[in-house]
Amino acid sequence: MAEEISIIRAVLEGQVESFRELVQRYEKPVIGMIKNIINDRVDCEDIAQDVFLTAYRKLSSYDPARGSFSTWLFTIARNKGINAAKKKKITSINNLPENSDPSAPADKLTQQEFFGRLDKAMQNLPVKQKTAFIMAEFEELPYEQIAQIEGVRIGTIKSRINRAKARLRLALKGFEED
Amino acid sequence: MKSEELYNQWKRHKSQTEVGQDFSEKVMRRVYLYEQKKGEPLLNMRRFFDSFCTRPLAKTVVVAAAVIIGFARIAFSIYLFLRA
Repeated sequence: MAEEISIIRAVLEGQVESFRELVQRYEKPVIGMIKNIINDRVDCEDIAQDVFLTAYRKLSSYDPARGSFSTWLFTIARNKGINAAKKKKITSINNLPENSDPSAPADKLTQQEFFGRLDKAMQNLPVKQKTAFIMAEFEELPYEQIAQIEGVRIGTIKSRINRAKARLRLALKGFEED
Repeated sequence: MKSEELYNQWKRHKSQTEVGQDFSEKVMRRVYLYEQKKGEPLLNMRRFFDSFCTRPLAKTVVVAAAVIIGFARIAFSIYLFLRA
């Protein structure tokens, strides 16, 4: 945290190159979060670039007393992701597994169907449930940080994630019997 | 395979993120471009013209204003002619 603040201070003092360190540190979770919100592997890097550029432009408004840099950055990523998803209204499922075992076609089919159902159900979640679920399950952020990003209480986040999981379970109903 | 096992596989799959090798380079290029533009004077005619050309609404407003001014001028000329 203290090290990050010194990097931020250096950037604000005109050492633009120091910002690269922040980009390299957070590129993976930011791209991952956006990829899962918009369900598109191609456009997520462009949106992630916008996230970092916005963060750079607004860096002087970041207040360490109000939270960590990652929370502030993930809030920008979440908002940009939601806006992009609204524009694109992506419903197609294009994130099927890449590394399934080719020697087991029946298993692969089952897995693809399972993944497809989950992807579809996740994309159809209400946006607040979807972002909370993505941050908790895929980015493994603590509930406290998710609550800060979403601007709500921890209890609300827990409830959103539980409701999201319940919807996903519903989407898989009957899967094992198939 | 059990649902729980498949769910964990799906979670792992969704958690995997590939980052383009030159991602940070692309971001930094945009950052430097932003810094360069920030240093330019505010009243840059070329930048004004470029931004004007890329905004259809601005073009429409200017054309509409020109038409209104044109009509007003004709009406004023007719008024002056009739008054004389």
